[in-house]
Amino acid sequence: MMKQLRFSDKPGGQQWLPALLFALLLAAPLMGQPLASARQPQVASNSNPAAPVLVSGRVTDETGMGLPGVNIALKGGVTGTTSNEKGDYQLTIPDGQTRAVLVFSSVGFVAQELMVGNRTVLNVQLKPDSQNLGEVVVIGYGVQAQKTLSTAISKVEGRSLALQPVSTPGEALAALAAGVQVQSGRGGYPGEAPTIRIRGVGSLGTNSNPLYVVDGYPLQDAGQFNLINPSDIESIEVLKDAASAAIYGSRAANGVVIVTTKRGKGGKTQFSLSAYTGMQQNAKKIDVLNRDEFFQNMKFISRVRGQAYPAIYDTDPNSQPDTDWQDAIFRKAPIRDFQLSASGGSERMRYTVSGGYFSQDGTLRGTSYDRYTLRFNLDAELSPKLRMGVSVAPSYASQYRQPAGGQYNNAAAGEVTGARALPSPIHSAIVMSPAIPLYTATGDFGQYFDAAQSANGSAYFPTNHFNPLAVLSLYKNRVQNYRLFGNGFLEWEPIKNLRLKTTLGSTLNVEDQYAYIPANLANERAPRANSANPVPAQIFARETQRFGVDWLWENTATYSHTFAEKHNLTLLGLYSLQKFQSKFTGASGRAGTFTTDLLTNPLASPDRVGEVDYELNAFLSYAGRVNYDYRGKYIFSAALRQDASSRFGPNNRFATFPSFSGAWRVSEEPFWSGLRNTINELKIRASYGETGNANIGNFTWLNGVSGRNYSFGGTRAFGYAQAGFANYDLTWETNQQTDLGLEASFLNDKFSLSLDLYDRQTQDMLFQKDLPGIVGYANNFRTNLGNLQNRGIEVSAKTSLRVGAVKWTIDANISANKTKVIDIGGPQALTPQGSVFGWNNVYQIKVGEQLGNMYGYQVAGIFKTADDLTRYPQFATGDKIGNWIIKDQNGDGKVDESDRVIVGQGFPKFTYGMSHSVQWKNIDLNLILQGVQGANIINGNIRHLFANANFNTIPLYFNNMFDPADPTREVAFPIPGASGVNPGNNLTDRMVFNGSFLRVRNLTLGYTLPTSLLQKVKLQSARIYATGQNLFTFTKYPWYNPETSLSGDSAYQPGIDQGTYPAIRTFTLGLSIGF
Amino acid sequence: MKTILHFFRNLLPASLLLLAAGCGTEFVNLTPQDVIPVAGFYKTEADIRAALTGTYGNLRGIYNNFWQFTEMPSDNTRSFGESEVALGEFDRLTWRSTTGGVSTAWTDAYRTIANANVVIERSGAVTMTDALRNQYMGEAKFLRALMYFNLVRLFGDVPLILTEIKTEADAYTFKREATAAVYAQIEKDLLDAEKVLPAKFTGVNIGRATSGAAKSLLGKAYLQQKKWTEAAAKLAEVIAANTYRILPAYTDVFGLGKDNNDEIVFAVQYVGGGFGEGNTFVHNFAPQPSGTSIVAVTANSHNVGTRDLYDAFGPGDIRRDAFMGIFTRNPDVYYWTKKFVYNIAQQNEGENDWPVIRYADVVLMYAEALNNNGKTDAALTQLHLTRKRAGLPELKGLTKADTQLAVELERRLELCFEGHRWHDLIRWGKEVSTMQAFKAKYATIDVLNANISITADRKLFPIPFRETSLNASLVQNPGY
Repeated sequence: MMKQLRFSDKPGGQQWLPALLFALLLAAPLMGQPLASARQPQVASNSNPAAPVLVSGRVTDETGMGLPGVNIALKGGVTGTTSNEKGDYQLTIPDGQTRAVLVFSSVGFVAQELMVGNRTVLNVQLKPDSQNLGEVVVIGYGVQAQKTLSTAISKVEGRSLALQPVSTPGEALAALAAGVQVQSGRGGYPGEAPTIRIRGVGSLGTNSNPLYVVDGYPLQDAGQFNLINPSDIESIEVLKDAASAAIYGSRAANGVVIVTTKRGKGGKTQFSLSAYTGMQQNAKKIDVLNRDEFFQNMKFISRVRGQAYPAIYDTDPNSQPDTDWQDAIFRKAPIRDFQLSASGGSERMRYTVSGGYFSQDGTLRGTSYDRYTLRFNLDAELSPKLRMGVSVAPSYASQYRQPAGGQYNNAAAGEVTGARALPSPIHSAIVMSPAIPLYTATGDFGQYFDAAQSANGSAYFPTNHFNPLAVLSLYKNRVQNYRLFGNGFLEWEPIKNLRLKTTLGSTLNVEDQYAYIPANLANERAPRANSANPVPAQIFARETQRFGVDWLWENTATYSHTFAEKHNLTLLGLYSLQKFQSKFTGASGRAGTFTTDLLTNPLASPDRVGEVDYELNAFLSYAGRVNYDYRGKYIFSAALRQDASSRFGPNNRFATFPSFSGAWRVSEEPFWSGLRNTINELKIRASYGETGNANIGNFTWLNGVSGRNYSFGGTRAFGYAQAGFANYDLTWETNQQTDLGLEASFLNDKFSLSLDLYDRQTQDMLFQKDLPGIVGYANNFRTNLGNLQNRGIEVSAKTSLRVGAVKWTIDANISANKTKVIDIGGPQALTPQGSVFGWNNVYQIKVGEQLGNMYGYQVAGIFKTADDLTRYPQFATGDKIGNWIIKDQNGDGKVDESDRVIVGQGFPKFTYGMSHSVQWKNIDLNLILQGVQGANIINGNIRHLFANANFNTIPLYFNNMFDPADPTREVAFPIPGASGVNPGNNLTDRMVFNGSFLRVRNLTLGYTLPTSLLQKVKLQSARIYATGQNLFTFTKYPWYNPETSLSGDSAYQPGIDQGTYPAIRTFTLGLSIGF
Repeated sequence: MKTILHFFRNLLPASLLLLAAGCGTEFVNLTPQDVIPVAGFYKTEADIRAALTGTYGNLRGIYNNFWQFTEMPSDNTRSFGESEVALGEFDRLTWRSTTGGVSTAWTDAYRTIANANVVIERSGAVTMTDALRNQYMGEAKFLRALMYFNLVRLFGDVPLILTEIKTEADAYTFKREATAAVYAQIEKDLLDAEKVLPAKFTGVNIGRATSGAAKSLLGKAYLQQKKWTEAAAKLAEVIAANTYRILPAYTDVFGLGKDNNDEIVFAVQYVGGGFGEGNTFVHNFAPQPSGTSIVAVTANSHNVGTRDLYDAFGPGDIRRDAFMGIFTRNPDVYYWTKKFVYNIAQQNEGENDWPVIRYADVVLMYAEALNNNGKTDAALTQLHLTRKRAGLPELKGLTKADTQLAVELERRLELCFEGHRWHDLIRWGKEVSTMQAFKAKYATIDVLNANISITADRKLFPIPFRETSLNASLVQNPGY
């Protein structure tokens, strides 16, 4: 079937389609104007030509408070505006005002029409809509009034995101929605997307990323969400319970994040310009020993170990360098953002165009992120029954990367492209001896071999340890991302209340990565390389490109009708197709073949290696949904989605996801009338739904043969071997989630509260199940097994206070989640996982236990005397004086593996957030607090700092190690060179820290210039503001960032820190003007 | 832009029409572009040859780490620094069922066996000459036998997998088979292999298993079982074939460019040059603090020789300085494995091969078998072949017991670092006494040696924790 329909076989066939599409893209920005001007003569013919008149005024609510965002449009005309934050507006009426009628409209209020007459000032008070259902939220394939929702959806206004100086919308989401945990695992890495988890970890076999849907378009890759300019976002809705997410079926198991971008509201073109600029710096510096303390420590360790140290450390210590490596690698760095947008149109044609430029230099030298975005949204009524809309959003981003996470000689996998190991400069800067020069006299980067340290028999010379500034200065790793998102729809209303909509969209994505390690960069493969001694054979150059196309065709039919004025019914039918296809190609020079770095790309090698990889998947979906309510009082909703995906085995390719929810607005009952003045809204809701997870990559159900070569007679021979274990039954992971919710509003919405309890069971987990080793050609295979449970509670509260002229809004949320392993398909535990190198078997997933437990030894003291050695149990291989005493947990008289206990938990007990928004006259103040409680962090940064005379160390260890010359002194750490359990070889409770924190995430102070002043300079609005991001963090965690996660979003190894990028503090000044 | 247009041209209209035609399910029945499906493979001679090459390909990884199990536990080698953290358990005999390398040894061997089983099982249905089919099956049987020989020595009783495991349920039907049964299978495979394999390969086939390799491995398997008569007879066949010889100088046997010389019976072939198919042991064996003086890349201090080994070379034995180098970094002295190390410029890209069986080994095994058969004088004649090259005088008139001791010492010195020592000690029943003596002698010199833990149970490694936890019917070895 497919073969016959392939168009590429026909030369020149079907070229009109792309041409049309591109014509549409190009013409779109122009369309608003010609159409609008075509309508103008009609208006003109009805009125006598007259001079334009400026009308101004203020729109207020019934309490007299200014109403922002009210649409003010000239009836039958093209002119329009919206009220500013104080409710003020001004509007020029082009042809005189006598007959002019202004329409004031805002969601939740009854629209008012006013004849202008002779007035130039029109103040309006809007009445709340008696049918007012308040805020509208975006649900999948539609919108719904918040009050008639029967599911758990959190809404975040775009404004809260845009006010934060961060590079990705994901980061800005932190603390703003209950049940949504945002963890910037790699700290302040510019342009790096955080891990976002909704209601815990839902899977052990694959990732727990939510599905992102942008303007109705489900993104193939979570990373694309972070290419959206936060300022373009109108709102973000997070669908948390399965009942709300189930309409997205097979990909909604970890929740759905719906992003709605700003669309034109019509009226006269409004321009808005906003810009901020500021400086960032690391929020913290780690206290390490300076040169003199370092020498003291070195001498102590040398004495205990009976080694000689370089004599110059006694004779002339001041001649030695005293390098501050942190100062060398970190910097203060600028951040800036510019936005220009125009929005307007007529009643029948509305558009918004926005362009943005964001630029952030990293506080770690050599890192930066630049992003250029353009977005064009157009909505048009082609006829009373036909509507269309187009969104086009090209973007370009460029990120300069440096290895951050990982160990001093070997940054974490994934930090360096092409599987080349490089030092982690952040870890290096801590462990490097201060007595190494930053630069040598000849201008090369200083290395251990340049220092006195390495002179004396090399005992103080770690040969796998390199100048971190050299890495940051010489290593190049740039990722460029070109993306074009385009989406268009046509909506037809053939009969009243029935809307048929077809949407066609596509995303083109090109990711281009370039990496280069020059000949003069010292690393493990070229340990003595520098400019004086380049090692061309170790040059590394690689260029790769991933080209991806994703397209979506979606068709919905929506029927809404109110029967007998009390039965409100909405029916939705959906048919959708989505296909993704990508190609990865790359070239690098074969290792060892470079001879020059006159050319800094793979072409410099005479022997180049190519790479290629393909990805392909398709989803086919049918869905239906019923929303019914009786007078907005009894609410019921049900949805059913059937999905098929190429990702699953032919035997189980289809899956069906049902959901039900119901709500009762108790406050609508007659018996409530007496209470209504106090509790004006009370809703109880319950939902149950099933959703699926398909994040397993493509064709993992199939097995193939892959290359495994050998050589015969000195000649390479090319061979193949089976890889993987086929599973034709592979299918979706299913989440069954039950949610109970309560929503209440008090004192006429002055205070509102929402509470959710949920139970989320992941069934038939997509799991990489281990196979016995005897199978040979596969160690594991993809299958469906087991059960993971997330249970939690979320509370959000909101209050709007008015104290005199001060308007104060507080949003607060707190959520607690616990992930428990119920079943892993037979075994009681999975293979233990290490944390950082040397600390093995730290994490183990066990049935019946919580996810994220850290296992280690408990330190009970130090063997100080020979007597102690008999009094306390020793480590299995024996202990000595000066060793740590480890608690013998099972009391068997010796310390071994079985004495490990839970010494920490990598996932937080609860997270919370609070935002304040205060307005007083022209001054506004915003504050966002973010908190995480009850998570532990394994500080892998300090593993190497213990008792190495050739590494620097921290005050924690300094003068705090057992000294055989002074055995009675109270110290916390064992003797240098300790056997048994010591900080170098096993995790103990001493290396696990409390990672709880409370962070002042954002503080913004703004001033809106008065209208009177603005009129003189022909501006509609102007606001200046100052922002501090990550101003303070209250934490006991002693390293750069308590939000750290070396292993990314791993469900197996949460809460490890080693060389991760520091948290940054940012101060900015900004300006936004409308004209 | 052209590509973009191309995509649109292909995908959009095609999909629209697909839908119009109403073939929904077809839409998700996609064919991957990145998988060669197993179902379509193993159909031609070229496929089988490639599958056999893929089987050999496993040896690279296995013998990159073989010393962990065969040298590190013995008195021959040790580790330093970070290497001590990673490998200390092999060094001090404190390995456990969860120790990383133990699990890898098990799975790597069974992977090779699985790959060999495919060749053995599927060759029959493929059109090719009988000569080629026999050769391929013979090579596969040699590789399978080599893997079972490693497994039975490391783990004792092990499951015998002789066919492809095709379903998950199948994987749980196998139990540990008695050591004797495993050896019986090894002998059967090698007897099959020696019949069909040529004595020698040439050109681009050098490095494949030969009849000499099969016979030598069989001799080694007999010897390890103390089947002295069968061992002597089989090894005599290897010697009589006159395919191999003791080369005059060690520099002809080891080092860069000396691969597949006349002394090599079977070696794992490595090739450098940036293909990811080189060896890792060259830079692993060099002392980490040596900077760029021994290898041009950062070294790892794995499998460094002991003082005890260094001192075991008698006066006049030129092998000491040929096989070991000294690098001093106060207070540590590294007796590094010069035998395998050359000045490599790239990590993991070592060019030199790993000798699995060397003719010197054959000769010394023959000597041991002869002596145990009561032919002590004949044994001493064989022993002199390697001693002579070392610059040592001929031994004459020794008792059987003394000859045994002489063979033991000679094997230790001649074959040091090559992955024989630990199982030799076990064959001689001396692993406990040797390591206890070693610990007693060196514990005061190096504190780490004080942590050596040696019991009779150590002669077998534990069944990896991963395997016993996946399959409870795999009963753990005693002492673990």
